[in-house]
Amino acid sequence: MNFMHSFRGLTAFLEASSTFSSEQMTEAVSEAVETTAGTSALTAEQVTETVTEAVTEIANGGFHPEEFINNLKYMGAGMIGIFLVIGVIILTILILGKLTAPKNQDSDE
Amino acid sequence: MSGLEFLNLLMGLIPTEFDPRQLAMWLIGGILIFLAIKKEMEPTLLLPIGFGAILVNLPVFGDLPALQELYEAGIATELFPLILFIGIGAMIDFGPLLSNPKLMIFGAAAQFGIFFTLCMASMFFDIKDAASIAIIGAADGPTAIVVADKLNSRYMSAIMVAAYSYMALVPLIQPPVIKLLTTKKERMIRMPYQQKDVTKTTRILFPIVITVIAGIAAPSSVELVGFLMFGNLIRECGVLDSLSETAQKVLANLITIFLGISIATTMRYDQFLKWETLLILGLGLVAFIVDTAGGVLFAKLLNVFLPKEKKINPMIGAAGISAFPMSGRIVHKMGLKEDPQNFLLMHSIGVNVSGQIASVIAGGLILNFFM
Repeated sequence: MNFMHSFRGLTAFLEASSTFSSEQMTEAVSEAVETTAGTSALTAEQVTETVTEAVTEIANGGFHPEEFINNLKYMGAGMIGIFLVIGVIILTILILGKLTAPKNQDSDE
Repeated sequence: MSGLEFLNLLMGLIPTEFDPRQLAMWLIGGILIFLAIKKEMEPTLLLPIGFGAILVNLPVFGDLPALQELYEAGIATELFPLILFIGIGAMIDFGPLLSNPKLMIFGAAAQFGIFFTLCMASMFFDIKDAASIAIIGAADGPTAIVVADKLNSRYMSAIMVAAYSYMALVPLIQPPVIKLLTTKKERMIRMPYQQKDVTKTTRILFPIVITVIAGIAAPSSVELVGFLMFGNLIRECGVLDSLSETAQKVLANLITIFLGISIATTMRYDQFLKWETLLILGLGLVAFIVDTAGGVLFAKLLNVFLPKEKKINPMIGAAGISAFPMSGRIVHKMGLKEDPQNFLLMHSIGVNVSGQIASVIAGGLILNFFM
């Protein structure tokens, strides 16, 4: 009962503030549910706190400079991948050019 | 009818739900239309997007289901961008690339901006949105739509506006970056062009082989590459001239009309007027700048190892972004400005065309990573 009361209060506050879209609200609540799932004996305050944290995180947009370093692996893999694919295409074009070149070019000249 | 009833009737005509932010969106729509007409910046897309931005921010948007249907049918299913690729494929002559395939390496280097921006954007957005934003650097609208759509990005409209606006701004964005990274001496490097005949068989086999390679190496890109190459096969086969012409003109124009207005469906004030939109526009600019820098710096790196008579004009590296043919022409013009006898057009167009293929493959790689 306490939990429902707090949660309704939070929802009403969010709706009234009108700075949150329905997607943001859904995302925040989903995140909170994910975080609290499997845990037991949570008080209404704890759930409210989790939801509030998630909402604040989303509202602030979240700035995570460490993600730049964490995702450098995609930069490396992406650039290696693209050079490899392009390398294969270049080789293929060169082979195609050789295979389809007119054989009597010299005699024509 | 009493005076009061008449007044009530009149009051009923006034929309009750009106947000001042809708006015701001009208202004944004107006600016896009102005840029399209007055500055001729990508008018085929910015004009419908601008008009659509006004249309979807009228108080009666709920009564315009046709537009929503168009979005669901063409953008959500990715049909419009893919069909547009048939037209683009039919427009592209891969001849300069086929006569000097080594130039393709610059197309690969100039995709660096995409992956750099991915890391940058991941500091602010979740990884799927970051990947969708990064693909603005592909400088290729249809690829950006397909990637953002497949990754379920929440920022489709901002990504589209950034992608198409920056493509139109390539003549303003690229020259300062190129100048900053090259010396006058480097910009004056001449690159003799040797005309090599490309056989019809090569031209016909090329789109088929590329589709197969892309399908194996980057499976997620096969739709994009496949449609692009199908269009090119229609062009090169020599027996479907009328279809080729239709794909290049009628089909491409028709899809472009629907594409622009459908994209605008996502430009509702409550979805578009966010600080994230400004951030996405900024990150898109970063992507274009780093793409350009990546191509130029890679050419400079190659020059370290090349003999003096085979040095590459590093400016052609900048043409590796997919904005075709603008980027190729810019490099050519810059070359002529430095030295009126320096004709870089065939090289730069070759690199530019390779950028088209490389950007699609980059899009496929991004999808491979995050789908």
